[in-house]
Amino acid sequence: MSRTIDAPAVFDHPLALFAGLVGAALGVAAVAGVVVVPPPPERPVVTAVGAGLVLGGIVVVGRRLRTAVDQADPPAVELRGDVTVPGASLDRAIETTVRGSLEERAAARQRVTDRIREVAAGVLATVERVPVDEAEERVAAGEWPADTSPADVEDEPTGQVTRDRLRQALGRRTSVERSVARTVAALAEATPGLSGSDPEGTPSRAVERAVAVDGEDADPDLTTGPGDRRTRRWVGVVGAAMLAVGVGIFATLEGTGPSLVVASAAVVGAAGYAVTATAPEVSLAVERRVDDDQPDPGEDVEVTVTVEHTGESWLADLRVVDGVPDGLRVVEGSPRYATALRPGESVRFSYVVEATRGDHAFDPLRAVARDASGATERERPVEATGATTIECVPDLDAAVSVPVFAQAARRTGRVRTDTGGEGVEFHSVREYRRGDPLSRVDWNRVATAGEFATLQFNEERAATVVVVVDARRPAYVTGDPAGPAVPERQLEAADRLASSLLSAGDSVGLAAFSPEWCWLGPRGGDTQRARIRRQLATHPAFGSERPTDPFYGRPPLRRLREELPGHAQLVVCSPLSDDYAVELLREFHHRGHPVTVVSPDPTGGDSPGRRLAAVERAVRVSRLRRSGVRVVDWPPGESLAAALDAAEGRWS
Amino acid sequence: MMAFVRRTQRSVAAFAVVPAVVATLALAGGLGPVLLGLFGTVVLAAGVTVASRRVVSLGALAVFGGVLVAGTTDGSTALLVLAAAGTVASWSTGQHVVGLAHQLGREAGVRRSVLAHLAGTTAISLSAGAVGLVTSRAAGGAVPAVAAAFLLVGVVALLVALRS
Repeated sequence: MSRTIDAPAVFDHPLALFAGLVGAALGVAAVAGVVVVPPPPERPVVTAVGAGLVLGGIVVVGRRLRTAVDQADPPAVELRGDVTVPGASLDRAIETTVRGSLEERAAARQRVTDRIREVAAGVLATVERVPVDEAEERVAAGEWPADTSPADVEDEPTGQVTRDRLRQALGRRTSVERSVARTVAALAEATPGLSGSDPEGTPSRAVERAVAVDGEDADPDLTTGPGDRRTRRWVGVVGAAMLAVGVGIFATLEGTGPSLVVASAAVVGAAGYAVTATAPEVSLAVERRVDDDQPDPGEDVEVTVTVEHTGESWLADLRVVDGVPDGLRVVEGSPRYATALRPGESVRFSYVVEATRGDHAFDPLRAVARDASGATERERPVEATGATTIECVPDLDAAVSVPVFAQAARRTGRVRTDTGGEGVEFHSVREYRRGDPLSRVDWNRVATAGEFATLQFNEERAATVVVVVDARRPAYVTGDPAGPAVPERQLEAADRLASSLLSAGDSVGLAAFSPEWCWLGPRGGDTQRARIRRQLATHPAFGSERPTDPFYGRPPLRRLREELPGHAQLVVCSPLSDDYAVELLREFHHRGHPVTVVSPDPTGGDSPGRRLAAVERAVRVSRLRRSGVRVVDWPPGESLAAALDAAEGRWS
Repeated sequence: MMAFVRRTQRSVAAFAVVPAVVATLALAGGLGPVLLGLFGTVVLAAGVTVASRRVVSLGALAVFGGVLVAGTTDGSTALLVLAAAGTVASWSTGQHVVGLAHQLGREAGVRRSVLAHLAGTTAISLSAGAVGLVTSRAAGGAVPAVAAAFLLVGVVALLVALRS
């Protein structure tokens, strides 16, 4: 999107130009004492001119208060752009019900209501096992949840927004926040695995400000790209000058001096400068340095940016935003800077990012240069020299014990099957057949009854497990933009699960739900461990960039179904952040590949939106468990081993 | 936790308020103007602090109202020019600070940019006012209202014509 500045076009307004020239000429002549226009009917003419100016001034100034200033809006590069926070979009909508314009508020209230209704219908359908249509009808009719209704926020009572703005200024929760929190608490109460308490917690506003992207794409009207634009920031100032002259004329008629007319020159001068201003040339040399370009995950890296003005003329107003890589988060300082630069002068600023897994390439720096008045603006990307990437390779280790389904391959292993044979645990006794090993003959029975019988034990066999990482776009979520994000927790989980399964003698393969095809056939042994590790660290499917392609019914999915050995079971690492994940897993489970889900929990936080996201996810977990899929819920801040232990306790 | 916060930096908010304070002092000749000036300055300061362009404009408009009221009484023309220039400088710098708050947030280094803008707008509006003052003095302090009106109408029409 590139716009060019229209040059001040005098000839677009020939009438105004003519009037202006004639007026100025007559005025200059009058000041010089040459009276071209005879003054006799002075009073009525002057009164009319004065009144016209005052009215015109009011109109122009009024227009100012309705004009939106158009300025560059660089993205929030400080925050990780590669993940979203579940529920943040609802929190943003709740925020808009207080902050936005009349239309925005109405639209936001509708969004909030629709969203809560959708989740409420999901909860009702799952809990009472009714069809979704029926659940939707009951929610829409206000029958459920009982004491509170999603429709409570649908319409805005008169005067509420003013009270809410006041509440917000005092740091209290707004009425929409309270109403939504009440409904969400009722939904949480009804959802298995959640408690219904309503924490007097963080207002949604605090969350909104901490999050860069929230699952919706940015409003295209708000983002700007390279280009030139008029900021419209001086609109209406001419009106102030007109007011001054008009009032000044009346004052002169009353006998006071023309001082107000003189004073208006200050306003006219400033506005005139702004009107004729053009955006300056952007000619910059940018150098970027990092103090460690191969840090460990979690390590702080200081980035220093030097911007030198290589152009010929003054840059009165220069703003720069460094292109912080999407997957990195700024933890100290700011990658933004504003200054004025003489030709040849340079400025240096620095900020600190926290390293996360992956190769992170810096984007070009965005420079926004304005003329001294700020009336015009020129936005340009500037490529920097020096550091261009930060590479961060994780080190993965530590074994855990992974529970698997009793579906096994025909090799000895640790899965205790229901088939009698070699093993440890007693299964049954059957008649002796020739060839049975002597060690399994029931000699007690031979001694007492004189007949031969063979003891059978539960056979222990190896499982064939394919570890699948959910790397679809919706899986790039996090509950805490500051902590390790879910994609990393998933990869960490995948690595440890695969490693531990291999140690236990199982054959392990690796796959991804991702538009990028990723497949490693199940095998055993240490070589496989190394292969899986390398794949997790380097395969594009597990990159730090969110995939932009959708995954629905894509060739990778069909290919995965074909590649999976018939007896393979799946251990899937997925945050369960959307309903399609549930469909996908159920389908594999029902096609004879038992599924165990290890699910890092990306929800958390007290804001209504995030609590609603937790309700939604709990419903998904519940639906999966109901179809026989095992779910290991892995809350943030807990170790994977502890989560697995807790889950195993639940299954045995 | 660090985040991108679209708020005004306290340390630069004051720069935007200084010219409004000067304008208010220049209006000290009459009670009405000085009260309007004070009220407007407070509103403008609040607007800068909460990063609202509209509130900044309303505050500046109140100070300008003080200028208009002062202009209907016989006072010093030079002081009135100073007050008008201060109002413009304060409004423009306030808008600048708010724009920076929206665009660059609370943590970025912006002090030099704000000072440069303050100096620039003050210089432009003061020198334009000075030109007006010198012209009126050159005409013996008694420019016929019609002449001045024609002059200003001409300039305003030219500005409108120039507006892209």
